[in-house]
Amino acid sequence: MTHTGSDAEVITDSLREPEHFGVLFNRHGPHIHRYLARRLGHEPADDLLAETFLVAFGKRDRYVADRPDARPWLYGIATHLVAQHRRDEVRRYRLVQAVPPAGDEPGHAERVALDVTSQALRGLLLDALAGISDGDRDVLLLVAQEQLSYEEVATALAIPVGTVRSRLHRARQQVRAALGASEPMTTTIEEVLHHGR
Amino acid sequence: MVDELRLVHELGQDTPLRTADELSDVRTRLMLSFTASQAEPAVTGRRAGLVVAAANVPAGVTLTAVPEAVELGTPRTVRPPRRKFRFALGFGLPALTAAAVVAGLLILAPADPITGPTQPAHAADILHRAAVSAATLPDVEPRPDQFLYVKRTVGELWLSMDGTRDGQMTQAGSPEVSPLPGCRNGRKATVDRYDKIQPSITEPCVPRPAYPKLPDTADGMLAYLNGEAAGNTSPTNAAAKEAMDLLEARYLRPKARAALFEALSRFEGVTVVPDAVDGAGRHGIGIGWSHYGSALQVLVFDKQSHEYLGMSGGGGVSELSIVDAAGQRP
Repeated sequence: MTHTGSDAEVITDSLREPEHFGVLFNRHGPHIHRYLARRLGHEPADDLLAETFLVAFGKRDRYVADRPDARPWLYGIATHLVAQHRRDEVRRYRLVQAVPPAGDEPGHAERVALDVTSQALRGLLLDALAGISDGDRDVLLLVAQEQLSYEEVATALAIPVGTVRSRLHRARQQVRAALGASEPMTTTIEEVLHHGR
Repeated sequence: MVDELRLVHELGQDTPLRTADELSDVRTRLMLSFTASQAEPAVTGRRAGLVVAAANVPAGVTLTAVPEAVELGTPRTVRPPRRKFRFALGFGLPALTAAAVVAGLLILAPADPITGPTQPAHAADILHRAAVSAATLPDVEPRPDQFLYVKRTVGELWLSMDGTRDGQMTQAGSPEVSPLPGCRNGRKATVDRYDKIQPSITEPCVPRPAYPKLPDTADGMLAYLNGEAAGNTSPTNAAAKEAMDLLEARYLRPKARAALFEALSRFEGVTVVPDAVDGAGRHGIGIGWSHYGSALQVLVFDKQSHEYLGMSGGGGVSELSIVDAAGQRP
């Protein structure tokens, strides 16, 4: 099934011929899947990906046709599903953090130090994510990880752009505060994150 | 100065982006859901055939009468040999992961699932009767080079019995034929986003035979399901998903099928749904489980015979038969 039109045109066509909706999945399924996996883990991601698109399919007759790109809409639905699993998400952040570094083989001293730093930093980050409010976290992750614009986040979450800004500001402050305690290690942060697990 | 946005971004890089092809199982099931939403509701009570042609009968010749279908039947009460057998196939495609199997079913819940306490004894009883019923199906062993043909309201499937040949699928109302590449020597061709096979671009794979070699005892099947469920947070959910895959998209010989129901009865958390509806709109008694706060998912059995009908939210009444080539209809 091919379709060269915008997402909005695909959705319009899918009202008469539902199979067109598969085009949306081809275009955006992988990213929505990764978003769900990042927030809730791989195991539930497949199920929730399907649910996201089924919900979208059921609501396609209410899609606002002047929005050519359906990504914000799909992210919004996915975020809504994530919201039903808030506790799992927070638990996941704490769990990931609790997982010890893989491999304990004696290596180069520098490498060991890097791993320790990496783990510590990841722990702080995950802790920060677990600690911020749900609405702030939605905005932070949609902007930082999913690379949505402020306007797109506003569309996805059905909130004003001003609210996106304020939520992001708050989230950043909290993450920064959480990391602030570890200022000495931030010099190697980039390297750490690229090498860390 | 730390850029916390950058850090959060980097943190997300741990999670790989799956390719559309890796998600093709989810996609396929979704497509069936999309098209099923427009499909005419199947007529309740119509006995659509699960036509099991004998392996030595030229494919395409539908063997409508299976002689002495009860030959390996467990001793049981009056039940005339049936001429046809049916399943309701739900989202029957070989899945890469058990987790993908039920994708698409989550919001297609039965109308009235039981919300009360579980009734393990009762569920086990129903599954036991389902096992007895399954054991009376005709026993035909397909050849590795044959295909399982699946027909339902939302389309057709041809699935390679040994998983190495290229199968295909169609969707109702569409002339397009989508390939399902077989897995040969650990590699299979990829399918691009336009459903065109790309022979030159292959990826690692494990064959997914439509006729898997499975244990035919309850203990053996239990060990198999537990193996499949290893590492999952909910063994019951993982095992039940695997069972759904086996029931909806595979060919199991009667003993293995019976063993599957027996094995399922030993998992915790399976509950009885007194009045469940399968994908074809047929009412029956259901065996359900839930996971992750999702809606109850249900296998539906005939209330009298305990024959397996289909699953809630499935793709409708289907015909199942063995054919010699992909694209061939019985």
